[in-house]
Amino acid sequence: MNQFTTFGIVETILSKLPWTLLLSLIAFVGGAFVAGLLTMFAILGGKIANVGVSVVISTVQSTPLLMLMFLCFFGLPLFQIEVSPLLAASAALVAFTAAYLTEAWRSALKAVHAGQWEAALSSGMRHDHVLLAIILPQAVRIAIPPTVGFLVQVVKATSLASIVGFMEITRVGTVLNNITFRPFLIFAIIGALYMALNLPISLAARHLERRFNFNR
Amino acid sequence: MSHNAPAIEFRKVCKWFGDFQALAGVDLKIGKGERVVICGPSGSGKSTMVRCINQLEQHQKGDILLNGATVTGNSAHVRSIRRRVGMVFQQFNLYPHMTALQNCVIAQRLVARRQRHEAEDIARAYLERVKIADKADRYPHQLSGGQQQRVAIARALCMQSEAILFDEPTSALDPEMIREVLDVMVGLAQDGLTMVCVTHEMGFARQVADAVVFMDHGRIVEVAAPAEFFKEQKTQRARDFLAQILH
Amino acid sequence: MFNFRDVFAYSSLILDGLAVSIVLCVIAGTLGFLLAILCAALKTTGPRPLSWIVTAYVETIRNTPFIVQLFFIYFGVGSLSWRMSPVFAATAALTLNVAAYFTEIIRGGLADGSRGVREAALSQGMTIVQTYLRIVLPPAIAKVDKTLVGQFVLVFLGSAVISQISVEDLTSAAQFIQTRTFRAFETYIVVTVLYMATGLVFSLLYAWLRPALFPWVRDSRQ
Repeated sequence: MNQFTTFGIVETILSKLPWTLLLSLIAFVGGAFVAGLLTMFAILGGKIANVGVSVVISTVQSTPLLMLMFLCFFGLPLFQIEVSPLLAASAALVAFTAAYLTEAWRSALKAVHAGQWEAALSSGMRHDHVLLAIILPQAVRIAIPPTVGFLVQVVKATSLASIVGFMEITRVGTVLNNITFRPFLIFAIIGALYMALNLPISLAARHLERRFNFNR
Repeated sequence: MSHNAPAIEFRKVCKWFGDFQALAGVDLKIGKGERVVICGPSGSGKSTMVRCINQLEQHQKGDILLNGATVTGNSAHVRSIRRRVGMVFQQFNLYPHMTALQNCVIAQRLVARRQRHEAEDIARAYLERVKIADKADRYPHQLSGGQQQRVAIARALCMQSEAILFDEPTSALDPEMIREVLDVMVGLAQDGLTMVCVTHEMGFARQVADAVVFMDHGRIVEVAAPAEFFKEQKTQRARDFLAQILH
Repeated sequence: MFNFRDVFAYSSLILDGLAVSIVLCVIAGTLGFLLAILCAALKTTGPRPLSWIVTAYVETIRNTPFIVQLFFIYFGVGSLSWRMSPVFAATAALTLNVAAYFTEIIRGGLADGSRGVREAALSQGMTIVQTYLRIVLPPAIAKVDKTLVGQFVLVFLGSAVISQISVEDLTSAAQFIQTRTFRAFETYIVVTVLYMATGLVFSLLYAWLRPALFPWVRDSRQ
């Protein structure tokens, strides 16, 4: 095992890349799903629901993500839920993602001009039809750039799952470091992998933002 | 730097922005204490010409002399030139985070290296001069456009430079504020300060200018004393221009 | 079901950890702010190669996780150079991280409307450095100050990760207490509340300081 070549190190790190991707996917899809529910609840549930959602969002956002993971890891068992590192990390990342996306989506809905609501409602359309046919398409357009951009945050955030023991690329890096003592190479490779994943997303998000601002 | 050299002299000055030639061989002498008004249609190069004097724009050919010495050179030389030539801008460009007094003090401290109390005394004197001493502790956004421009003039005067350049100082002002700024400028002209002023205020030109320079397409088309210039223009282009701005 | 008493028995340890977290982040925030002022200048008006280097640095930091940056510096750079202390490595990593985000934020503040003011300062004979630091920068910072503070709070929350290279910060105190008391959930609740409260205190403290830092902004809101 001590005979790790550079190639062997790269191969071992790459073998854990699917877990980083899977965790990112779970966090993003799960977070988006929860955010969708929360946004609808905040918009349609009246003033108290809206304030409640705001409180939840700011609580999650002012909690260190690592604490969120620890709380899931040690807290969920209190509810008789058996917790694996994957489950704890997923739960925390879903909460983290949902909080951000809810905020982004809700403000996108609000950004659609109030005049649009009045115009559509005064033409006799039903409230829910206005939301679906008039407001939502415009809000989606506003929300896409920050949503894509947040994907970068999600991919980066999955690295914290290594601390609760989930074997993704950062975790395999610390393990390899203990075996091979070649930390410079190992963490450079891991950093480069994150770059390779995130830089295209960052650039795409910026491109979308520019295009959106231009069309506005 | 001879005693008889003109305050500012242009020698065959050319300037391009990419393919566009902004100045096409400008020749002009401005004597000490002279007041020169530069006018011309927009895009004629009049602002560029003035901005070349203190090297906010760099010309590519020809030479510009300040008291007989070239204005071009390394950054320290250019700074020493700028120290000797004040400038007033169309958009005032007051430092937004400083009060009127601080606006007048900062360059005195950093560039002229004056003591704080000395700089403040000078600043107050010039704010008094432009009749805005009572607003010394206001921030720019608390002042009207005309007040801001008067502070900007005081700021330039504080450096006690050899000449002051005015780049369309009243163009961004509401009509009712133009007068207060022009009054200050007329006062300065009567004090014998060398002034180069890009403006369309022909009343000001008539009242104080020693010479009117008319520019078009990067060239000086006419230079004449105002009485002469307003009585009879030598070129059709100047006639068209005057007809346009005087309606 | 819950028992916080065991956790509070370690309150002095918790407060020590909190102090370490706060001090390191404030140092990193200050150094990072200064570095960002330099980087923002280089990125906006610096010569080509330098502005490219700044761009590469900023993008690298923004697209990789902080924990990887921390490990790279502590283990990676540490293996090639002298053996650096965890506190030094953590401060360096936090500083480089903060500076990259601050650079982008400050650049945003510089982006619009400073050209005329810059020319005015230059026309008075100020140097490029004087013009940037004394004339252009302060209003730009005032425009984006709340974003900067928000980012600083985010970095403070993210600093929990430095416990992983055995810096004795707040999270590291929590991990120690948890192994002694077997009250993990309660411990992390307490520590989480402290992180939240400190983040809030940073924001409130800044709101209180702001009028003194940017008096001209305060005046515009009267």
